Amino acid sequence: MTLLFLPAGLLIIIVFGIPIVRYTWLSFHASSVLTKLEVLPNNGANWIRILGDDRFWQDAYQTVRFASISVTIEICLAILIALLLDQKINNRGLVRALSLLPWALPTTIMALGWRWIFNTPYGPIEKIFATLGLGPLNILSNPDTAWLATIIADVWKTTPFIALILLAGLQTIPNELYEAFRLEGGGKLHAFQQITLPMLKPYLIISILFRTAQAFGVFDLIQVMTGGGPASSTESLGLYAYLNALRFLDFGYSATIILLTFIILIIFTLLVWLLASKANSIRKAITS
Amino acid sequence: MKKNNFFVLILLFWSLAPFFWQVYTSFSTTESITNPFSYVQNRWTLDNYIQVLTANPPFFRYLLNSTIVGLSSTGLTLLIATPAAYAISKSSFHVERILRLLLLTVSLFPYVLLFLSLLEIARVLGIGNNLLALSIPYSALSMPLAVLLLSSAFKDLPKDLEEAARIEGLNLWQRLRWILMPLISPAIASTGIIIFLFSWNEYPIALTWISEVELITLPVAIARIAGSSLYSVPYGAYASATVLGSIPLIFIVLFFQRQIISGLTQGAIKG
Amino acid sequence: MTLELKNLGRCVRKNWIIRDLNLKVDHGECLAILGPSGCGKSSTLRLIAGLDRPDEGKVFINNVDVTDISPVKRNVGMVFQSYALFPHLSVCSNLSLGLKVRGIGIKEQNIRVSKILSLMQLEHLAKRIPAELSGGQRQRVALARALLREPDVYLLDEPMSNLDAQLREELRPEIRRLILNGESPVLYVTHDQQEAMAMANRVAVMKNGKLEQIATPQELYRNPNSIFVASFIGRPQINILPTIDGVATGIRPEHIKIVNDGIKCRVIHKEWLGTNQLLYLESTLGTLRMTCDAGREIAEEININWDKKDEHSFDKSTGHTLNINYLFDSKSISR
Repeated sequence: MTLLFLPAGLLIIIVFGIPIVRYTWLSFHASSVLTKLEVLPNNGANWIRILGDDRFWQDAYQTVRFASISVTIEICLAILIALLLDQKINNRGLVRALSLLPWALPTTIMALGWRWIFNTPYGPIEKIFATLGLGPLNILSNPDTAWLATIIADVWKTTPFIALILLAGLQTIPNELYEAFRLEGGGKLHAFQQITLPMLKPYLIISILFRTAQAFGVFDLIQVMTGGGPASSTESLGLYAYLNALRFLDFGYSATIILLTFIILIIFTLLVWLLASKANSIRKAITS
Repeated sequence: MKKNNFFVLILLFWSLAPFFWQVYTSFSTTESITNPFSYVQNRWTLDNYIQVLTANPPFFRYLLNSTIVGLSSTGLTLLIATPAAYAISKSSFHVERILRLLLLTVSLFPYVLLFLSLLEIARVLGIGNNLLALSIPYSALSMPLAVLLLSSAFKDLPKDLEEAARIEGLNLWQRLRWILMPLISPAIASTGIIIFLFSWNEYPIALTWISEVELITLPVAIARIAGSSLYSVPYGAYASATVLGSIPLIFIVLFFQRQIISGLTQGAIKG
Repeated sequence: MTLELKNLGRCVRKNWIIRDLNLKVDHGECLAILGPSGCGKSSTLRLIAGLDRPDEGKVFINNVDVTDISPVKRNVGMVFQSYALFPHLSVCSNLSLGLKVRGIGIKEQNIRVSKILSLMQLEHLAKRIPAELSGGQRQRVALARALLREPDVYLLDEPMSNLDAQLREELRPEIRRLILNGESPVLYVTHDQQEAMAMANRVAVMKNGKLEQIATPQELYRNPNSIFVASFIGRPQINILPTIDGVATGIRPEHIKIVNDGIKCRVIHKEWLGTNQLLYLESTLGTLRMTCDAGREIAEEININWDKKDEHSFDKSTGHTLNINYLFDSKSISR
């Protein structure tokens, strides 16, 4: 019986496990153009460097910012969409399929599309604002606004996925609960708080955790949409690691970046998880 | 009802507009691209498509590459995941719960972070620039989800069906082939499609493993077109590339939407 | 073909659901395993089939120790309570699958399948899938599937419990005819004592994983070896009178007669059974059940008595019989 599980288990362990081990080892070595791509131990020089690396910490901040804001918006929108799709609407199947489209299209494809949409001066956004008399926004060229554009693109792509999961959750809530609540004189908003949200809790938590971890690793979107710019303002940790490996050819340092990113991710995910569980008890305390 | 329909329209607009803008652009002449909302003499053209389709290598090449990788990944994953899922569904309560938890945790991991080590492995084993080899990491990445989905499906089957099959004299492989797998075929279909979509969508590993222009997959091809010049903007060609690249996926989503949704839904509920 | 169980035992989560089970079924014999829910009858069947492994003891089919052999290789035929028909296959395919994996050629498969289909009168349903069949039809397909392979042992796990009472009665003789014409022993599990008495040559009564008594239906009725067996066999249920000196006496409702001068009772309840009545009587000996001809009314005062030789005596503390008849009767097998 265990034999059946072996290929799958091995594959997973190899593909997920070996990198972690390798990164740890590699991060304590220098392997770059300077060492002619040979691997030499360097007594944690990479680690010392990374702790003082402003670009790394700036990217870390940007990545956390990206992940938290994206996921928050996505969850809120997804709840609304799920509620909408739970109603009786014409051609519900078709509507669901069409609203899934953003998720099904490869990130890189629509990243390009978004770049065009935000394009100055020809993109539709600029054109619309121009007709309203507002000056050129230069969204993608402005370090202060470019990251917002990436968030919009990310929200657009992944919200349907979360909406679908929440919809599945909504559909497990038996109608009788709502009916009983209504008979007791509860209003719609109240029903939402008392019935819907608690029953959706496991789905919400799964979605939040899943999306947060994924958003942390954002790479495709950033690389294609903005290249990390302008002036590295949209650069994510994933992209930074990639640049170090494939452009600067500093493999040792790249491994260090990845490892530290991973550690930050774990801490961040744990925090989110704690927060999500806490939020529930706080809300319970408030509404009771 | 009216209110709902209004919101539905907003939802559809939000979901489809960005894509339709690409379609619109792809048929526009250079002149009209720069003036999307104004009246232009020469609005429509097929030049963008011709340009993309006759480029070297032709665009269809990329679609083909992605399809090859997609099919081989799906096949490989299902081949390995099915026995594993069966084994889990037959495990004791505690073992099963632990395994499911582990698989769930692994599936949370942002696989992008693996690119460096996977790249090294590809170089060491010499399997870079090989479309079929790409299905190995893709399989591994889809494996946790596939095993979770399929093991739930196995678990849902009535216990006595397999027992009756054993009594009829069917050994394990015969049971899987004639009874168990046919009965979970909806789950297999859903899982397969999700894996296929993932392979088609994957970028960082495809990017680092394959450098030969003839072999790159669709997302990489698009990114190349995009990255080739950040400042000069043949956006018409980019748009048509986008649209062409999306067509297969649109078909898949529309045709298989029921399977996709049920697969994700099952995953969510059991997860 | 014979079946023998020696000291069979199975323990699930520190509970012995079967213990010290010994029995033997001869060729051509049908043994019913009878008992209340949870007494271990289905578990026994599963051990014989090989679906579960015993923690103690051995299973012998045709004097061959099959205890360590997987069900795939034992040659048993089983009819599940739910029938367990393969939902995605037609009736034909359901039947032929077992033959196919055995390497039997298509021609031969077709011959055997058509034979069994006509035997069970299922020809017109050959292409249907289980979802399109009625309960009775599904049961026949399940039976056909077991018969088809000509197994060494037949195991029937409450095969009629999903059917309504009328259908059950109709099918009983038919099933008897089909199963009992062969050489292979049949084990028939049921919680319905009427069914057990009707279908089997011998009945094994089980309680809490142990065999209480195994004998012919008549023997169980006449000489139950414990209060449990006496209460389980025979409808309406036996009356157990108040204990005197540690002895509990049992008297069956059908043995109580109305007399002019006897134990005084008052009718407190009556049930119509068709040709006669079931009366609940209040007396100095407690509430008694008796059957008699129709005509008695509630609140009537009557006198009853019975033949001393129809009494059953039991040791109240152990539940065992004190009947001299039983002790000398070789037809019953002791625990």
